Amino acid sequence: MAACGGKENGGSAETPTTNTTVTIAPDRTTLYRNPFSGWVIYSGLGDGLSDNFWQEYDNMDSSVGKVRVSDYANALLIRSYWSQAEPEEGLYFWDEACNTKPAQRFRMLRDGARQRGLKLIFQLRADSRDLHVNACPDYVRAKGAKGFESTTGSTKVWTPYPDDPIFQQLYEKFLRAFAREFNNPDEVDWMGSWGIGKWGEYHTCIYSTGNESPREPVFDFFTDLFLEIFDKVPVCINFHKSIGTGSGDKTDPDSQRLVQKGIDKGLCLTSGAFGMHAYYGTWEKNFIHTQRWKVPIHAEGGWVRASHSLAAIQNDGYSDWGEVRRGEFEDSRDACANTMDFRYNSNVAMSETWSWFNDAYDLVQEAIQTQFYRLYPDRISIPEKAAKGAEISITHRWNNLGWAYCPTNIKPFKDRFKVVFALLNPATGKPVHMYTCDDVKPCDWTHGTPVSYTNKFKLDNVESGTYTWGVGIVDRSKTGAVIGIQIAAKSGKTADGWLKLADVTIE
Amino acid sequence: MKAIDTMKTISKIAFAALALLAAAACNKHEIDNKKSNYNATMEISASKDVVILNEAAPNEVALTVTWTPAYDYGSDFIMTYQYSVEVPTSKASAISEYEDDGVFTRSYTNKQLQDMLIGHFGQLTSTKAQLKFGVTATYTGPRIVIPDMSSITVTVKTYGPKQFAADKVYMAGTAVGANPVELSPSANNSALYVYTGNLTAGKLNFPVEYGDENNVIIPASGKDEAVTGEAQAAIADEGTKTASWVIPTSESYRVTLNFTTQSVTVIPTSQIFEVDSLFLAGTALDKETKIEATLENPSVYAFHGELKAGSLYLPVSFNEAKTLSIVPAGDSHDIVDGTAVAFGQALTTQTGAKYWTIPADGVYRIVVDTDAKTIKIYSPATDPKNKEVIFNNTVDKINPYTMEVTELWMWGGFNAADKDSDLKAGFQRKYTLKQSLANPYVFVYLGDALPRKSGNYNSKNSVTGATSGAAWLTFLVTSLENNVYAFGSTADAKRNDHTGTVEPALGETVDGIGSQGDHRYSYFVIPEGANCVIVDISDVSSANNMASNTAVNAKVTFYKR
Repeated sequence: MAACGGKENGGSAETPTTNTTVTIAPDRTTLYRNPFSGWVIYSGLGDGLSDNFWQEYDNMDSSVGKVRVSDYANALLIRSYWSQAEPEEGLYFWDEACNTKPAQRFRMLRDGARQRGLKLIFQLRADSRDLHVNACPDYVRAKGAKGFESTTGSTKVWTPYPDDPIFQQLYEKFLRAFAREFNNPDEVDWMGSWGIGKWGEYHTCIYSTGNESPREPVFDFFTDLFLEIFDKVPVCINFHKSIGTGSGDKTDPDSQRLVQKGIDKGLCLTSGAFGMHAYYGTWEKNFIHTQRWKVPIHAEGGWVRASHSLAAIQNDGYSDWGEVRRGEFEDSRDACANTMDFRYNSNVAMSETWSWFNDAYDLVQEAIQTQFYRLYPDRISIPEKAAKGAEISITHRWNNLGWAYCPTNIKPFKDRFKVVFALLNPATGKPVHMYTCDDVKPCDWTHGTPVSYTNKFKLDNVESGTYTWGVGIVDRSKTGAVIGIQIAAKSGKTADGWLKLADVTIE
Repeated sequence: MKAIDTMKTISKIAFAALALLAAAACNKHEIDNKKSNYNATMEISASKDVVILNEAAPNEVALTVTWTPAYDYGSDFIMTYQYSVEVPTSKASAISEYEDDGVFTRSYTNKQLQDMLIGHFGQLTSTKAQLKFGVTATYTGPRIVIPDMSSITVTVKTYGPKQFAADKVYMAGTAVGANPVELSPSANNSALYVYTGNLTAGKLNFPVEYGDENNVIIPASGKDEAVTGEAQAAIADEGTKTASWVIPTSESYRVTLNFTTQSVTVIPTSQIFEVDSLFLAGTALDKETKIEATLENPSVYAFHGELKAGSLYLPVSFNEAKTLSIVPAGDSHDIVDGTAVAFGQALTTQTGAKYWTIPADGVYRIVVDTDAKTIKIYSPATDPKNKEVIFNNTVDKINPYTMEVTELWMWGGFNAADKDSDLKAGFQRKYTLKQSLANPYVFVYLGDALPRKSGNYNSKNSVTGATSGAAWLTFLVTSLENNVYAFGSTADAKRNDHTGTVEPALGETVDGIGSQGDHRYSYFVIPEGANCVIVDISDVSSANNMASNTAVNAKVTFYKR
């Protein structure tokens, strides 16, 4: 693979280099399965998950007839808690030897996701509040971890203090095992949360000290741990105004500093309250406005049809669930969110997924077409004739039709995705020579602002003949020339995903 | 057809200018309104202003929309065309698409436009709609340029079933005659067209004008149908259709065409009796006078008052019109004094010939039963006189004391001795029974649910032994607290000894005994929820109207209405 750069002008007196300008029409509709992008199907491993999950999601009623939900989505999010994931110490739900019902469900979900081309996302919990079972395996308490009890319905459940050293040691051991299995970008798109605090969202925290003094040490312990063990897939933090505090909704003046600290360490963002004016309000919006196009954002709605009444959403300014979906969509647009949620309910017709497809189908499509990042070069000047060994110049302009950006700046993606021009074998479409544009960063391409580059290459070691110019965004973590991010052009691609530009004769 | 060409070659020159874009794109945006506006050149046009879609040629192109290119600001700018179609009055969202391939035209077949208007925009069949076609060119480049926009509106008429709607409505057919009769919408309901008048035996349908169409409203079956007197389903169809309703005999009918229920009702006026309110009219009165429904039976209307010798008929108000009047059923103008007889109806405009003759000045009682469709006219000679009762009026110290019964007072512990300020304990005017205008022997209470309290309703309670349980009452002919003629129940009771009660169920009629004796302590127990009481004293006579009576002479019924 050749590098960009070289002399200003190329060619020889006998064979001057001549360029041709190619314009490329965008593909505005196709769903592309690119990293950290698109609709996310939610699921879980508890008894609420239907045994016919895939059958139901492959035949979802919608306002346009039956649809296959996975045709609209990029990833499958699995919600789980620690005691599901590790029912016995050292036995994990991904182990073949583990045959618990959650393990069976996980296998069903994992196989189904693979068959449908969906990556996985995990949201883990170690906090039992609002669950009817303990989120932590019993051995954690048996080994002396300290915690507190709470009541869900008539069931008492136990949660370890997040600052308890025994809990931290055992949870770390579990997480390291989890990461050995799932720190794999070929299967996992990103990690959703790290499980501390109420609902795993790191708020409404109860520490062993009875005050909030362990707040930042706990924050540092888990953020450092997650970022260390998940170095190949992005990790998110729930951003809100009560980070690590004992409250669930009060504005804490130090929350923004802590969230920013997490971002600076390498965390991405998620929120579970999109569309809720009380919980996703001015603080959250003002904060997210400082993060747009700097860090990827997952938008999870907060209103739940099965739990919240019509009066509740009307108190929030919505007249019906279609308006709630629009509210979530608009908050997502405002945040330039990379991903959005299709949340689950065991009664499919009560699920948010069903609501999206029946109350707001047009917004499902709109997000695919204009929200999630969609990259293409509209204009490229490229040689159509050049001499062997000549120095050539390629000028290319890139666009992003989506409001979300392509997060190639975050640590797991940094230097991984590169724009590469290739001389393709016209017969096979395979690259024969490749020229990498190291200075081109897809994360710089934002909606409405095309970015142009000129790169120079030397055609060393190129045999005379006719080739086809191709361009692609290659995943350099792979051996060979594997396209890592799909270009949204209407047609003219090779089977491997190279966008064909123009024929070139090397003399 | 749209072409897709991702490798379109524009020029064969090296375009070094593009290299400048990298820097230019990062520059601060500057708005250039003047230049942008000056260069607004794009214009959209349509092949027709008005399109009548042709159902018989579904695949034939009905409309072509074309637009000219927007101003080209050069290769520094990316120009994006967005094309849209909308019906501004529709709630459905606009259909829009990007045009990235330089194809600046769209053609639509008859069926495509029909499906778009009906299926997406929710427009009606056989109706005109305004379709707005628009195109917007936006520019992305080193400075902000205001988008170029152009739109055009085309009137498109759909095909399919005729709408059950009309701008003008006519009644036509052999039942009407050679000249169709134009109908007008009702004053208070524009969806209702009503005709009342004579029709001849024959056929009837309803030509209508709607927009540019001449349609006809006919039976939904598409065939001739005999009128049934009930609402019959109707459809709108091509004006050439001849299906009709069949009128069996020549007489006066009321014809109702209802655009809301899409039905037609044809009924002889002689079979109609619909009343909102009833009036007396004719020379027997100085002015038209409203008469009221009785409390005991809302279907019975009654009048009791002065009439002069002269004519009398009863206009019936319905839907704010007095089209019909109650008149004698036959040709005679004579009243049938004191006897219920069937009444007839006539157009109020025809009451010059149809009326009763009131023979002489005097007080008359008129009772109209709208269920039985009877009228009873009492002359002064036959008008029932009020009942009289005789008792020892110890308050005014008159014995025997004779009084006409013109009202009844509820009395007992039921109201816990509550009272009006000017009355004795236990007496409240709101708990009196009013004399019926239809029958002076019937007394009625209709109002709030009666209280069912218990309590010390009699200041002399401890002396008289008149104790009261919950919801007890009797009916007194006047509001004298002491020693008055009262209608009690048949329960055994003895003054200063013991009381008794009868507990009627709602709707159950039980006997009553009027007296000044021990039955004043025989109580009725108000059924739960009763808000209406009727006491009928028709059986009071000289044989049982005295203070010492022990015979049944009244009927008492409690209702919940």
